[in-house]
Amino acid sequence: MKKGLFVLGLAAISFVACKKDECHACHYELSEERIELGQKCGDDLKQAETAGMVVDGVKYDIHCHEH
Amino acid sequence: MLVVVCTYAQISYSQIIKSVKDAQSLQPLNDVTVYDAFGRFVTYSNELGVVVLPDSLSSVIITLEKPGFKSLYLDLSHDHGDDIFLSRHSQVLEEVAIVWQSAYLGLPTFANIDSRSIEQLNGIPQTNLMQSLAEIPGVYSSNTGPGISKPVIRGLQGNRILTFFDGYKLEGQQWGGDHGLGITELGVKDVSVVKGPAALLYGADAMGGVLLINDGFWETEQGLKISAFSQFETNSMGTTSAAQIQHRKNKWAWQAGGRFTSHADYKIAKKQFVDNSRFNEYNAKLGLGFYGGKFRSTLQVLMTQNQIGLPGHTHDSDPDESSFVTNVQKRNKILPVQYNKQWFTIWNAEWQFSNKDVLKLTTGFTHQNLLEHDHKHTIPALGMITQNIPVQLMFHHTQKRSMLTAGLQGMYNQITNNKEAEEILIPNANQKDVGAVLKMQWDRVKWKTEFGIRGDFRHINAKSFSKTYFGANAGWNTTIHFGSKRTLKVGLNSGFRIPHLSELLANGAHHGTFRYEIGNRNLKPEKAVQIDVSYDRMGDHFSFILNPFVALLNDFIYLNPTGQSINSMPIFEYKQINWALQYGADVGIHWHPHFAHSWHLESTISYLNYASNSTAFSLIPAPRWNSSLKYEPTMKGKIRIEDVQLQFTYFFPQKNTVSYEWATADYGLLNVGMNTVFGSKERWKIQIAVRNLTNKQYIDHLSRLKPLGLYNPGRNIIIKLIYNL
Repeated sequence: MKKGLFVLGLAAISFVACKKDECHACHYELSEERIELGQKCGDDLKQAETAGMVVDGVKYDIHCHEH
Repeated sequence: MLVVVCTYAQISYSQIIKSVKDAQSLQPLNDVTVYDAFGRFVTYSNELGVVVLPDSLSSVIITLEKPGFKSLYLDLSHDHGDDIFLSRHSQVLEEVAIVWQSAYLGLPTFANIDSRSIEQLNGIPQTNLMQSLAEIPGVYSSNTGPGISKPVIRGLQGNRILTFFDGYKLEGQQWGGDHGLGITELGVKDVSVVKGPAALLYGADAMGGVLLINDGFWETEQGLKISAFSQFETNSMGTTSAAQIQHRKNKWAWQAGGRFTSHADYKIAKKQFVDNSRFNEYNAKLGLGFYGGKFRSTLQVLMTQNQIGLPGHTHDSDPDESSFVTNVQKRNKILPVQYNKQWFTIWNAEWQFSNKDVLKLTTGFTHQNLLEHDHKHTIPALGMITQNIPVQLMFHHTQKRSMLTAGLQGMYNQITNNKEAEEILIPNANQKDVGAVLKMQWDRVKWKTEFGIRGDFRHINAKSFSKTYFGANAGWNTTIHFGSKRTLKVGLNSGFRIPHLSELLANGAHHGTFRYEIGNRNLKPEKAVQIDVSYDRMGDHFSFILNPFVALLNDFIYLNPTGQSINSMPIFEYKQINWALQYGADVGIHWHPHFAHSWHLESTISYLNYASNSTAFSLIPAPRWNSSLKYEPTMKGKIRIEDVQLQFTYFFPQKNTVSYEWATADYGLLNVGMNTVFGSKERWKIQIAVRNLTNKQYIDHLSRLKPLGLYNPGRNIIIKLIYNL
């Protein structure tokens, strides 16, 4: 029984996931030029992907993924 | 092979079979499982090989089974003496001949069912459970890389295949070709496959077949059991680790387990890697069981969380195969990606009112959250939450040689779109299923038969769509034994499948399959009737199985390309054909020569085709010839080689395709494996295997990456360490 509880405890520990903010390098495309925005994480990342970038009244999608 | 033992005496249900023994060594056999005539678990033999039949046993016919031994079919109305002997065998083909589905909570049936233990399926280890099932004749695996594998039974897949876990119907988003089942080998004891329509027992949607996954908790033995394994694969630098503990003391039992797997991009034979074919997954399970005399119940919770890369994505304006491969193998998450979080709560309960009457309930709750992110990490392109409650209530009334089953099955299923998702493929909807079944079984030693009828209703309700469907079905299955070596099984079964929400109401991009899909509200339910005949001859040294089948399909639903596209995604629409004929056969032999008793040669051929004047049938599995040569040395000592196996699988060319589908060339795959056990009690085992030993470049006909010209994995060296207490 002790052996079983030890294995169970080991299994439980190994499955505890640490949640941390994702960070990604973001950019947008302006007149075929890539404008880097640097690393964005967590809520900033979500804000960037949701709101995009407005330049001179024009909204551009912010991309934060590898191609 | 089934051996009937007959002498004459009066039967008493408090009779004790004093000793179950090995016919060769004459030693007592423990853990021999005893089932009644209808496949229901009764008891186990103890450490001394003693079996005590309970007073509640109503059937005069029992079966004794133990892995590695021939099943013994015993008629208790005749005196059999004090000792029962089981003869050894290790012929996989003989497992196919087990007349009834062994174990468990499933519905007892005499249908032709192919059952395999998890050890048999993993003789040479695989990456996942669904790929292991492809060892079974007539069963294939449709893969989107190693991270997503779907079962294909007699050429049909998706929501034409029903999956049950310990009798509980799993209903998620399996309609999608890129949506996996989320069930792993964690704690699984055996898997049974019903091939073809099976609506009588399993209801609507059982058109292609049924997977019955059994984890054995319903039959937990006394004591403590610990099992664990760790597996490493070189092709994807993949690791899988799992552990499960199970404990029963008297009437109470519990179990807990966990599994984790992580794979980088898989390597193709050109020493390149399929970009974003990486994935990882966490699984966990908890269970609590009560095993009383008149009442038995188990409660289980299964959880799965995975992150699966979706290969085949590119921003190239004119992509070719090189757009989807990379020279660097990676594991980190990139887009597009699929997330799947799901949990199942399963409650099984059985009330035994008398020797003859049993009531069984299976119910629970499923929650699945499927997200697909295409080009944004925090905003899903597609998101669907599925929640359902299936209920099954079955009453069995047993006489000595017959059983009447009457039951109700139903489900409430709700699909809700994630409000943050950029696109919607199918609208929010709910569906309600209700079905009733009535079945009679007769068992007369040399033959057994069953017949049943069933009716099912389904009501689908969505925005601007509300419709009720009805289906009536029947089934007849008969088994005849000609002596002790030959068996004939004949089944005539119908099935039907109500169009899925995606087929009725889809109108959007499905990124995982790179299609824009358009549904058709006027689709009618599919119908099928199948004749399945199986003849087997089981000898001590040579066995043969022939299993032809033919099915008439009506109103078959398929996806048809329109030739147009939206945002560079080809548009497909759902259409329907009037009828088609599906036919094929599985043929197998097993040779275990007397002069070379440590050797086994097995070979099976599976073939399937359609006769139709339409272009509805895509992804028809290529004919497959699977052969294996196994050597089981007789060794003593603390380190013992259990077996060495060489397996060759040849896929014939498949040119039977639709207009938008690629044909595939023939290819052969060589796999080799060795299993070694350690210690006098054989608690430790190591498996060393190589899949695709010759590093063959090939494209599987059912691969979802076939249209992109992406090869299947190259050589894969697998090392697996197993511990069992």
